[in-house]
Amino acid sequence: MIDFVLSWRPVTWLDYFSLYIVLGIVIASCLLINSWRERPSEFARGLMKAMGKEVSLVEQLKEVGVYCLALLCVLLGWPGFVVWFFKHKKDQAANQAWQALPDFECAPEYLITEVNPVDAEIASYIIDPLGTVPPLPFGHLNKGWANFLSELTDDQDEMWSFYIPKGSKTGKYQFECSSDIRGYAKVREGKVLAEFITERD
Amino acid sequence: MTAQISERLIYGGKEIPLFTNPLSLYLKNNGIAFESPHTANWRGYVGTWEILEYEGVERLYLVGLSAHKTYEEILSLSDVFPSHDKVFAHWFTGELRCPQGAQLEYRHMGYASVYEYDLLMDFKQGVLINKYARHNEPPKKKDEKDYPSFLRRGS
Repeated sequence: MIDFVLSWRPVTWLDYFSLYIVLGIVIASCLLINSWRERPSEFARGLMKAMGKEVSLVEQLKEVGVYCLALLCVLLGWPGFVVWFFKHKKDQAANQAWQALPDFECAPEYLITEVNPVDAEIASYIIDPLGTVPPLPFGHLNKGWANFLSELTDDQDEMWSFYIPKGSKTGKYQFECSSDIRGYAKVREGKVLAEFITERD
Repeated sequence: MTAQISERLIYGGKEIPLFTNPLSLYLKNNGIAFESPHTANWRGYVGTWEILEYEGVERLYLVGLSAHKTYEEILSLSDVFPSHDKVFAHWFTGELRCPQGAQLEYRHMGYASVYEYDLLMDFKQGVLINKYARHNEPPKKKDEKDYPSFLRRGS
């Protein structure tokens, strides 16, 4: 049997068509198994029943009809589904990589000028007549400043000041900022790798 | 999201609600996060702020704090800022919004409820630079059909 399968070669158009359909059946079976594995759990079905959203017989028949039509489409047009499947996987991987990116308010277009950390510290002391701010660079934000400085480790790292005007789109999700934002950014080869915000709302 | 408990602002000797969270940048910069005790306080703390005037300049100070380290354990201002009875909010640049008057519309989200007036105060690095009041119009009443179908009550 195995020898016959291995030695079989398509000759006529019917042989080619059969081969095409067999591959379609394999792919359709994979899709069916996948959708069966992702069916609603017993708990979810119980919940739907409790909410009075039980699936009626007509809806079940409609679903069967939709499945049959979808399987027929897969059977005949499976190369398209294979292309779609790989594109979907690639998009998913790109999306996951984007989600893993750090979310900084500062973008390269908001950078102003390169700054020496010592100069930044000198200009950062806070004047408070009531004496409620520690005499440290950036006052109460000193811990954040120290953390930011500790990240400037590479010789290629540059420290830039930045300013984001109120209403600009910022961050990974491009939300409109509700106030002016100022601070410092760690920049390497034009890319923002860390930020320290000194003022915002 | 549930409507959130406001911060408090002491201004002109009177305590008024404050619909802005000036402490958020400080907490983010210092990697501090509090526990939410309930859905009306996702940030896990309520700060009391005061605008104090010195030689004609008005500054924003944090003068009280009630922050949940855990559900049961509540931290005060001196726990978060040791040896401070008040803290100058020098990191705050932006607008403070204090709702005034009657509530015109309750919105079940954040600080979105609408009041008759908003007292708005602009700050630059913790220093008050401008203040004004905004009069809010009563929001237009919505009918069932104004909502998308999935938000309408079932028939």
